[in-house]
Amino acid sequence: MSRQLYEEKILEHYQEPHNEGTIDDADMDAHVENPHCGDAFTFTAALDDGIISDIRFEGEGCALSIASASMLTERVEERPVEDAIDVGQEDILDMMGIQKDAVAPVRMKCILLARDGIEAMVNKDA
Amino acid sequence: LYDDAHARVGDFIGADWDEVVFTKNATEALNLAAFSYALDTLSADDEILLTGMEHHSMIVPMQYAAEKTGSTLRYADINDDGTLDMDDVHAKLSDRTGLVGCTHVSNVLGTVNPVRDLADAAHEHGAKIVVDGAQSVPHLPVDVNELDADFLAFSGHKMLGPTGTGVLYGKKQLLANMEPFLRGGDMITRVTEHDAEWNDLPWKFEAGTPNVAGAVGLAAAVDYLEEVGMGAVNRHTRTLGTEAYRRLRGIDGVTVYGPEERSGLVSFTVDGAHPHDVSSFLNERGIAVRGGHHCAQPLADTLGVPATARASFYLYNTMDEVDRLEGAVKEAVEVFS
Repeated sequence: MSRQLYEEKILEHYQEPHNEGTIDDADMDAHVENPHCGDAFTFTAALDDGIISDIRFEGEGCALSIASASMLTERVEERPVEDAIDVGQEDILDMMGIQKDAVAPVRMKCILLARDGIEAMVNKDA
Repeated sequence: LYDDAHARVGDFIGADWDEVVFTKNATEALNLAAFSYALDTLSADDEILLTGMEHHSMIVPMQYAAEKTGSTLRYADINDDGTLDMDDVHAKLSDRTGLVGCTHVSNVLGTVNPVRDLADAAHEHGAKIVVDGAQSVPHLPVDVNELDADFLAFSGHKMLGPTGTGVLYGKKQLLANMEPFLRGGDMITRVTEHDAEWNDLPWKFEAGTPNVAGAVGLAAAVDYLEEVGMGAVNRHTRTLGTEAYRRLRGIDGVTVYGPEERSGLVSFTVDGAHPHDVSSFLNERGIAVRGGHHCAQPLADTLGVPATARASFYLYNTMDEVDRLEGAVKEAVEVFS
């Protein structure tokens, strides 16, 4: 893992995010914001027999928050809803290829916003 | 030592030692002016005139003063180039204006405002002027008599001093007639159960145990700057700021904000990149900038840009660093495009 934040993977997910959009008649939804960066996302998901059959995010954000949302929604898609919660900080950093000491503490909120949004969405429904 | 610090800071800005009130920062200084002057003198028929490029620390205390006194808060417009629209200032100034608040140098745009002209205009209408000198006092020679400022606020940490230090200068006659802001020990001469007599200036406005260590540090910073000479600091930082402005303006995909004629800072955005990402990117390349609204959200709203990245230069920066900034921003444009 490199010490630089803006590696190809993050840039790709920032410039062409996966799972952008909104699901009509979603089974679950949640809105999260990070006032420091002005990141704001709404997550929607469809549930099929305890599996997240579809998940989208819509909103504005910095590169880290968008990349995180793109990667995380991709990861939890087609998986049991229980897998979408209790995702740790280490898991997210790992997923994004970021070394912990490469991140200023203030950017952690950006990196974890998607995790918080998806967790909020699932917990709301529970 | 503590008393002496007042004198040295006073000399630095052309004020008497007892016209210098030590606070913990410029924000507290501006609050002092709002609470002790504005709250007591303004009424529902009055107006407070600020500018569209003020810092939250000027705006929020004045909002409170307006709310509590029933006076009306108004804002003078900025021109497209980031300078203050003086026609609008004159249009909005009237005999109803009780107080004008303005920043000497904008911490976002780099604009240097014509404070003396604003002071004269304010005084003509019987209004006082409170000047936010947080960005100016550290960067250029400031003399409160030349500015004819009624109040001037600034912070120590922007001028090589310690954090936790700030100053409110006020004209002696004004300070003498003002009620205190914070109350308690040291700002009194005699206290009975139901009464208290205020101490002399500046102690009347310095309640409780002071930040002595901070004051000593601030005085040391002032001595150092006097030695270097504020004229030299000004020339140096303006040169860097202006050059950085020109270089960044010349990069495709970069937008710069504020006038070419400026103090030593430049705010900019990179197309397709959030200012916080630009900051992190530059940080990785050993360049420290700040990203965000810079405590001036109304200005950000006016510019139509929620956040910008800002490079601010001081006496220890070099032209070499301007080169590096240009190079790194060019890189950022490519990476984020």
